[in-house]
Amino acid sequence: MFLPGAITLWVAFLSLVASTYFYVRSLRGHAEARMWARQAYGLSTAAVLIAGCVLVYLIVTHDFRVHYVYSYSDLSLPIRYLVSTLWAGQEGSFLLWLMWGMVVGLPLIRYAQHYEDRTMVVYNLAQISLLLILLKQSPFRFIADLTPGQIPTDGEGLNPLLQNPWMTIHPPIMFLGYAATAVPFAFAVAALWGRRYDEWTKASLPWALVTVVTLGCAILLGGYWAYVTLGWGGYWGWDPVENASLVPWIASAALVHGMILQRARGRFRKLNFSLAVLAYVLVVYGTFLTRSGVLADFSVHSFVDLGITGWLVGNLVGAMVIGFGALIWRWREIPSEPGDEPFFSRTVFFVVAIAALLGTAATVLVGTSAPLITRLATKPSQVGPSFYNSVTLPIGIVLAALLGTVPFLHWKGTTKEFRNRLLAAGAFAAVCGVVALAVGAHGFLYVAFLLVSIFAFSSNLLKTWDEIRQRRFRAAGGYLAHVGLGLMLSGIVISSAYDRSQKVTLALNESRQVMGYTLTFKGVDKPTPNERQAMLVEVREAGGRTYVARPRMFRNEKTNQMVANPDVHVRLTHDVYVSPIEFDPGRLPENGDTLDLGKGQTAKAGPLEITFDGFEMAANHADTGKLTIGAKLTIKGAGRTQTLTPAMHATGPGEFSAEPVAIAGFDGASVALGGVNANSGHVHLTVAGFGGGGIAKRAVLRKGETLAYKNLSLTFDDFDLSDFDPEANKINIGAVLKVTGGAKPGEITPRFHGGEGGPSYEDADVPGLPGVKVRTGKMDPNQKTVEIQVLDATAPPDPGEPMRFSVDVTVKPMIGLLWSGLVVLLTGGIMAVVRRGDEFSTAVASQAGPSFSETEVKS
Amino acid sequence: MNRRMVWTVIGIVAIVGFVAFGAGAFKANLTPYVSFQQARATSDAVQVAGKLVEGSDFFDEKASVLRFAIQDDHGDVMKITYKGLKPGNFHEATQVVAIGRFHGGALEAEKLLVKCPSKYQGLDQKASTS
Repeated sequence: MFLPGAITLWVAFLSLVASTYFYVRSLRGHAEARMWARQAYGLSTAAVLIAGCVLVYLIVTHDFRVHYVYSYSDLSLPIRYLVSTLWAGQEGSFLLWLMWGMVVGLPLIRYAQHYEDRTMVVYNLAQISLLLILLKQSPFRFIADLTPGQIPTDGEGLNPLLQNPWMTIHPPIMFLGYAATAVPFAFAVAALWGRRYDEWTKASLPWALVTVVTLGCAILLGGYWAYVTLGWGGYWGWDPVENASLVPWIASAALVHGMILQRARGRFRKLNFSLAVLAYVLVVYGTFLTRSGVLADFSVHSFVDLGITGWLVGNLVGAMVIGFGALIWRWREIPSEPGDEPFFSRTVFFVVAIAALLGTAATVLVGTSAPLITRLATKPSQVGPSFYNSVTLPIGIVLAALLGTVPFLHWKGTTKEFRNRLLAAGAFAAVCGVVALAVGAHGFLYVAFLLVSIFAFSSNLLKTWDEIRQRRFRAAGGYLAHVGLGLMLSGIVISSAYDRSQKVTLALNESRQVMGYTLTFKGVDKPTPNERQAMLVEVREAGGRTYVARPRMFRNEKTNQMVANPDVHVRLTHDVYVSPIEFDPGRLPENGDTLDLGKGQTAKAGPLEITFDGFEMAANHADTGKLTIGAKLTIKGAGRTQTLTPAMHATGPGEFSAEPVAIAGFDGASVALGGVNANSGHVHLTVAGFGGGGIAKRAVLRKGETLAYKNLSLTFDDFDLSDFDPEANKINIGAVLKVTGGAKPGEITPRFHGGEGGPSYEDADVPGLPGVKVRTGKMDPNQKTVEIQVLDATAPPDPGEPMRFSVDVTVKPMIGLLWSGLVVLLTGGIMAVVRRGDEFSTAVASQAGPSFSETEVKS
Repeated sequence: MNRRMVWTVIGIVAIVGFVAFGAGAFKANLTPYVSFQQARATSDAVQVAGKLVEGSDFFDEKASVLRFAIQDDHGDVMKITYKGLKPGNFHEATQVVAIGRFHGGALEAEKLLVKCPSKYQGLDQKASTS
């Protein structure tokens, strides 16, 4: 255990317990205790923030004794990802959540007024539940049983998929949303406890809005990250981790609408108490689902049971007992005022919308919990994405229809512009619908969803415009948020129902037609050895515009994991999404002549005369890290002379790749730069396409195994180590092969000579096949295998295999609406947070008298 | 009947209808974990798990699918086809979970889940061997 960190956590815990105790004292009439409670809370907050700083310090200074630091970071991480390692693992993300929780508590204390004591007792309990997990599973613990000599010199590193800017900011926003759900919960319980059933909604509405804005933002950031980095083409997969944050978000959205309803109508108190408790319980439940390992077999995310399952269940039960217990306890006391409302009124529409939101939340909740539910009856099973899609689609249509109608309703009926505004919005939706049908939209439910989404967008846009014209900027926030929501829904329907995709395999420099695009694979780009390689795919659109897509596919050296990143090309009406499937680096032609040339030297290869004119390193000037060596060649043959410059590129430390360059005039002939001898200035060239001399066949043989070539069988008998003596620097190894099947059976022994003169080969002629020789290739003394290469001057040319790159090309229409809609939604949401926050604080300021003073608590 | 009654009835009908619809979809989309044998015997969507047979995976360009085989603890081998993209850590997986229907000699997977050796397990092993 790293003591300073552990001590800060204990200080935080003890002072939070003290704070809770003093708040209870204050409730019992010891007014002076409240001051102490606040101070204790402040101390706890400071301790938690210091704990966060300590953990960041340990990560940044690479203290690999600490289990958390060892598991999630390494020496190679840049500073921004080192800081984000704070929330890369389980313990750290609980700590982040707690940090936000403590910070959110500060304004809560300031503005809670007469709810303060009770609210803070409940709120502190929520924070204590997190602290207990951190004390049980401390981020500061050392790796078990480590002696000083065993301290790891490097960590295991951060998951490469998380090394992405979007993933660095996603968790902090997410956990602010989670932390904020505790505020309405604490207020609701405090209100029930203190029998003050109304004002709590005003105080907690801004916080519920904070949850809606931040969770919504975080969920879609996660989706955007998946879209641009994971390459499966989507942003939402109904995975338990995603659902675990979606459900509380929907519940919080329902809560916000319930609170606005209660504010306007003075009714629906029970509904809001239930929603506030529910939203928090769902957060705790989601945490249990995703962090306990119960869904380990059902998610693409690997959940590890850290041994905190019991604590998570305890927290869940605790939250439910406190929340629902308080609700049941006071249920019959909560005043309720029945009343009839006309159907076309905001009141009824809000109630229906809340019901529809809860229906959606219940659907996702039940689907995500399927493995737990089915475990009771049979074997644990999960439900696929089609369950969520088919069930949420009809509710989505209802919700979007409500969303479009509600702006022109007031609480007790329709507004005077109800008819003409809705007609205008409906007409716009109809026109868009006709256009959509004309360009190929189909499927009744999809088209219906699209129509109502556009309707919701346009009617809210009209209302926003009305509000702005009347200079009521602050009221426009809610409508603007719904404009964004309408855009997002439209984008979701169009991009997921009408996307087209096709998979294609591209050979190097070969063009293929895919859905109206011409794709040409141009090779691999790896400008510096440290940079991740990108595949260059030239995409020519139907209109003639061309761009180069750069999807990436590389192996993460730390985790040895294949990582594939798509290329996303954004157009106004659609995204072109090119995702890597498979990359085959190809093979250089094997039966070709190999030439070893110094500068100015000439050699024959087949019908050609090849002269090496010198190196070309022009590419070196642009980028010092970029290593490309070219060999300038003059090639004479078939009555023409051509100059070619085959090149090799550094792909990593000691690794090079070379691409063969075609020789004009000879079909299938090519020359490649196979190697460079820096000392002698010689180049090693492979000329392919003329046959002869090269490797016609190769095989790796164990003792007794046979390689068949033409009519002969070559059986590997044993190594010949008669002249093998490493101490005398004699590294001469032969491979004894029995030749059978031909006219002259016998034994041949190709040899490898190592040692001081450098490696050389003593090839063995194959009896019965003139011009055919056998050479030893790689030998593996451990496996006792040898590679046998058959060289045949009469073999047909081997063209080699070009690099191949398989990609999935997807055209996603109108997906930009989703992201731009999100920006509009967030803008509107933030305006709403500011408005409700101001409303509340001005209400507090003006009501500094009776209803918010301590004397009234007993009323 | 007054208006309130009418709305109550409509509300109840809507809720009951939705629950029935949701329950139907839930049952229809449930994919139980089964053995390879059971998977071959049914045309329902099921979920099977096994270890990737090394070297068995390739991208079949003609059919535009990923083909591979997995092997369970008893040595039984199941061929899988998958229309989607190969998951990133496919080859390092300790277990591949495929969800889909058995058809024509192979399980046509709609979804793949890849289980990777967890960091914590790896660490424990390291701690115990050192």
